[in-house]
Amino acid sequence: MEHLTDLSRVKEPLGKANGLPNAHYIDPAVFAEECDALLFGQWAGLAVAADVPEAGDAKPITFMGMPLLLLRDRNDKVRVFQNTCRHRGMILVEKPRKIEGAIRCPYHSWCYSTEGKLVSTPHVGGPGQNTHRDVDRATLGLTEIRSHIWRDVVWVNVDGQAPEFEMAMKPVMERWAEFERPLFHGGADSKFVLSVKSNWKLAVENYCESYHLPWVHPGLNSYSRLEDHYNIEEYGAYSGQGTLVYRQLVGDNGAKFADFDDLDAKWDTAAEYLSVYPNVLLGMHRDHAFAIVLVPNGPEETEENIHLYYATPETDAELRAKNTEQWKVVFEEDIFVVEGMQRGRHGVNFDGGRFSPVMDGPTHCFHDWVAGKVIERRAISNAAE
Amino acid sequence: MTLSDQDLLNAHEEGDTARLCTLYHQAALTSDHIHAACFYATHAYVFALECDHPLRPEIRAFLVQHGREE
Repeated sequence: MEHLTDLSRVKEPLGKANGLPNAHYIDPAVFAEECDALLFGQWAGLAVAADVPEAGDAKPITFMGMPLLLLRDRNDKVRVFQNTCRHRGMILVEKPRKIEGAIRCPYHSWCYSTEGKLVSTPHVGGPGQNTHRDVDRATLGLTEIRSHIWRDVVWVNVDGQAPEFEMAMKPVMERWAEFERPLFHGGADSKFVLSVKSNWKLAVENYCESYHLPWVHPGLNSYSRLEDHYNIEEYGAYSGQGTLVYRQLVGDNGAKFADFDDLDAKWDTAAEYLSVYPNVLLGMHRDHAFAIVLVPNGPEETEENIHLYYATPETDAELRAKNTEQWKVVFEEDIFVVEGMQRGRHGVNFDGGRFSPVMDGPTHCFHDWVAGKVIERRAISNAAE
Repeated sequence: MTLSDQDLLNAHEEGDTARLCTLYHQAALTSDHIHAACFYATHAYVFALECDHPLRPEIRAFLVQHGREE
């Protein structure tokens, strides 16, 4: 079978490789192929648990065209369901809201508990008769999507075939094991959304390398120079960058955020930024963290959902706002880059590009992962034919 | 009491599920025929489920008693 793209050059070693072909950024057919191979077939970031802070909170999310429902059930467990009634396939929840009791389908009023159980099938056996021997409610609960929460990110494995989360994410969980501490979302002033006209992978790629910092983030570079950064490359798992000169934010009144407990002294001045494949970008510092969940809305549109976290539930509001603003400036500075690279990929003679053998390892690491997963998926498809 | 179309429409318009529950419950209680009563009780039960209304166990028991609910 002829494949949509030739990935052989991508799998070459860093110094010889080309980047992913244009089609991986602009072609709807490749986007669909990657949806199965990279997002539905892996543990992908969907949202954060802080999006549904209280029992009964429900938030519908369209993920790769699939209607999902993020919900905190009555027992405080965060769950993800397909947002589709088991009767006629109607969308159940249209906008974020509190579920007081059951989820009632607006079409024929079939009702589901927040745990996904089908609890009412009104008139299913005729007017006023709410049962029928052929309708077994026990088999008609909401379709639950496999999910796991780590670092407050709600990760989903839509096809249900990925290894257990702790197994799949073992390398990155081990790297940051000492940061397994309670995280407290900063609240309404500590989240923002950026919509970019770019394929989601370009946001991953730009985030994981430090090569661009002096050119795109001159303000950052005034104290965190290129030579103070190091590459992080864990082939098959994640990549990113670290800095050796992190400086804590200080408020006008001299206030600083509290540190996470019991960190190694190296974190006094170090910080790391990881692209956790496929679509979650994490930042970790001695006194705060952030998570960026990339939600693709098409081959050339991505929503970046940014959330900031702290070591303590209470933090200085002024300092928190200052920190949010500081990161917002940095992430906004990246928009012209990811959108420019996206437009550049409509140049039909672009060959995926070549990498700096020294500076672009983290990006190559991601391309290698993408190519590997797509090739695996193609092999499965071929075997099935 | 009979079910007032206007009350019902108002409650639907306002998305007032607690009110819908009590309106349909009252209609069930005052129905002359068991089929009509179960029809109204079915609606009352659905809205009771939706808003976690305190009448929910009572309405469910009524429907179960008449073989209309599990």
